[in-house]
Amino acid sequence: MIPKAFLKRLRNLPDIDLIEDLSRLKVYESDGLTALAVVPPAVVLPHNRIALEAVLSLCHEQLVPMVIRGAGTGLSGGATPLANGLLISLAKFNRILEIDASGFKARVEPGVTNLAISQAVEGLGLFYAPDPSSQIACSIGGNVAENSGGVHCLKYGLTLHNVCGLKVLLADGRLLHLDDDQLWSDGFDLLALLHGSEGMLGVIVEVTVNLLPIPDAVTVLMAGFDSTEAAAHAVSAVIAEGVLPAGLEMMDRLAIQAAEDFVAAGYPRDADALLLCELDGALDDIEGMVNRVSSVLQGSGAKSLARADDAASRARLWQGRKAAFPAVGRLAPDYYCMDGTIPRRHLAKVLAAIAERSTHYGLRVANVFHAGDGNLHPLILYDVNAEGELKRAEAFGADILQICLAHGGTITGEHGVGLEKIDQMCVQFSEVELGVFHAIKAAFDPQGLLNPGKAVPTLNRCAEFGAMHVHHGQTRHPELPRF
Amino acid sequence: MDDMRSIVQQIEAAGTEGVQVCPQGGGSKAFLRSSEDARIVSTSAHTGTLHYYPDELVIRVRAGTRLTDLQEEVAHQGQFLPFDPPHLGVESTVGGVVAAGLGGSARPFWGGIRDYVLGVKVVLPTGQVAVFGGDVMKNVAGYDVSRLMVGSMGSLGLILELALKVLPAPEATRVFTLPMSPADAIRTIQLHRGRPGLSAAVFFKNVLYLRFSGTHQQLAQAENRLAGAINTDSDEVVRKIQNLEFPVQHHLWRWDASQAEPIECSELIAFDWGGRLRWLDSHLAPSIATSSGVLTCFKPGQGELPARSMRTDTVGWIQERLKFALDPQSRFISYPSFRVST
Ligand SMILES: Cc1cc2nc3c(=O)[nH]c(=O)nc-3n(C[C@H](O)[C@H](O)[C@H](O)COP(=O)(O)OP(=O)(O)OC[C@H]3O[C@@H](n4cnc5c(N)ncnc54)[C@H](O)[C@@H]3O)c2cc1C
Repeated sequence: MIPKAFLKRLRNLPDIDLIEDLSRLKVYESDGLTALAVVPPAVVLPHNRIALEAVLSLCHEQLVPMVIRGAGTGLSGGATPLANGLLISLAKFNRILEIDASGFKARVEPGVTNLAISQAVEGLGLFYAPDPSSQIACSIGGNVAENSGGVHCLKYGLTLHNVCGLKVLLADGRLLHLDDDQLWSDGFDLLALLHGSEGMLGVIVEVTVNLLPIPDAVTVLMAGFDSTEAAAHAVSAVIAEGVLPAGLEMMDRLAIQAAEDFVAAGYPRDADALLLCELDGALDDIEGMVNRVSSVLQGSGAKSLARADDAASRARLWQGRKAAFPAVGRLAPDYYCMDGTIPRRHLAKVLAAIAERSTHYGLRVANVFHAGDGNLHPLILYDVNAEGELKRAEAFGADILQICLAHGGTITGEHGVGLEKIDQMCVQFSEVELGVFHAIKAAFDPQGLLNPGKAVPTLNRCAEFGAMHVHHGQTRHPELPRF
Repeated sequence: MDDMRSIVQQIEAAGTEGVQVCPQGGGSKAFLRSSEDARIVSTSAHTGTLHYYPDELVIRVRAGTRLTDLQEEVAHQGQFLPFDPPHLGVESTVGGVVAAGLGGSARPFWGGIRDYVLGVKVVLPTGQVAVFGGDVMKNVAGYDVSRLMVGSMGSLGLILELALKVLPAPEATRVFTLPMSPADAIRTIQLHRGRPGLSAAVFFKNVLYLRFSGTHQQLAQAENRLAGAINTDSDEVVRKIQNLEFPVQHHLWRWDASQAEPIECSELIAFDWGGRLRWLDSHLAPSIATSSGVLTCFKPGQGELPARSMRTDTVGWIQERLKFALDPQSRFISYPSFRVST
């Protein structure tokens, strides 16, 4: 609940849409993590920055907590509403403000979708590199808040590497302008700090992105293997060859089958693992790269190898990967998408441990994997209407994160902590480290009004969760069973 | 060699005695810090590679490892540090390089240190040891403290260990020498922007140097485009400018500006980063319009130093709050003042 007097003043603010009726509020009850739903008491859509500032000031004055929502495609509950807070949607901030082709930059409002940026500059021979699979829907503000990745991160980096300036409103309405012209300015790297801050430190109101020239030539190679181990070995061999593919993705047997049934991308059904490797560069360079990588893949035991050079056949190969989530989604009423990163050398062991947990919980799992950078997306299949399955799926997910940690990895590679992984934060970080996060939060938002309860657990919560901090792969009592 | 215990002890002892701590690596960039009365805690005995997996593109080293040793080690595997920082002394350590956060000539093309830091282990001002980030490319758990440490100038903690991303080294390098005025240099750079392989655009004494690093094909293309220009496969001249190996009469000022900002100014001695980093030699604050960009007195020379202060905008304000949040008792040195007081 939020105070009536506050709502009354909110209603009087100019240039906002205010939603208060239940049927329309329900649209906002969750983000992409639909298992968590809270109907917000009110949703506000400011029309412009001045209106947004007024909303922030009012919340700040009345100490009403706020949740910022971009497109609501987040997968960790970062934009899940609060029962006692205001949900602020930035959907109306959808203008591209400036395209500077000679400076290779574009300045946009936070609600612009990721894909809209590349579409707007395509005619100039440019593109914006980070491409989360959700790119038709997700907002650039949300990308910054999550430091989102995509299939092209291996070569082109994450959102962090492709954004050069931000304007951010702090919880008290103060404007922080992080410059887009300087590559060095005296002080701390706040631009980096805001990336992945999950709506906890400030509201991103403007983003300046770097643009890149569209490469002259692109080729996709597809290789089938008869074990995930062989495919993982091939990934290492490609990188050891000194080639940096634009994208390097792996799928396991269940994911291959599901994708093939769904979109008939032409994947080898008999393969236990599939690699998709995209190479790009200058026309003169591409053939040499393709030859080198092809022979590495063959040398690593590829059972089949296909290549696609023109846009249509490349798109067909990618389609299976890009549609992997919905494809797997057809195998069961529900699926739960996990997101952990591991040092790639542990892949075979980690997949074996996941398979063991799958048997233990009696739930199937399909693996889709940003292989080049070690980012796993196990998709757990379950049925929410079957007694206890959601709970088992969640427990299975938590185990997967612990497996990642035990192998020197992390609980989230790109989807963020949000509400979903807040307990696992107690496992990944010590009290001292969590204390540093709380101190940073307090420096930006001393009243704790932005997205309270998300991303960083309180020490009390960790004590209740009873998690033991895993350090360098070693837990305090390794002899005790964890799962 | 592992010197962590002694480092932590020194920091704890300083805390007990109420003496401020100034972390230091090789001391090659000591000119950057304000002349505060602080006790130096050196990482220079905390050295060595903890692990290096070339096919995962990740190396983890102790902070006192020398930059030259690190660069040699990865070069052996055909890899390199794309942020290729300035070498301001052979004794430069990796920790010092990261804490200073200075980018080399490749900064606008391949990114800065912050783009390649994956994880850190630090001693916080309280003396407690903390680990952030990790050894993996993608990691969004918790705020990005690893990157916050880059360029924090020793004011937020002492860096003990670093995990860095490395990349396959370019096949070859060529530097083209193009005599021209500064204004023409800016126009020429604009023409070559976005060209594959461009890795430095540096100007010194009426000569523009363009460095290309990449595949043999890319370099052949560059040679075609720049037909007639003198070129060599040594980038020593670019490195000399990047490493500030040129004579300076007075104080060395840096003017970080957008490329579009006019560049003619009598104090200009060199520029780097395709015109976005300008080096000025002047006794007093140079007479430039600083409508765009930041003017800082970077390396004091002979003679009286102009009074310097912290930035005073909202960014400066939040930075002070951050410093206070992480080091409420000012146990570590403050972030240095670079700007001229107005
Ligand atoms: C099918 C599918 C595929 C996906 N694939 C990928 C993928 O490949 N890679 C990847 O990284 N992610 C992926 N995602 C996750 C998601 O799309 C990204 O996290 C995305 O960046 C979220 O953007 P959004 O606009 O939807 O943000 P929201 O979900 O609205 O918000 C996410 C978080 O950011 C905060 N936030 C949003 N906007 C702002 C702002 N302007 N200022 C401050 N805080 C803000 C919110 O408070 C919340 O904490 C996928 C999601 C789906 C559903």
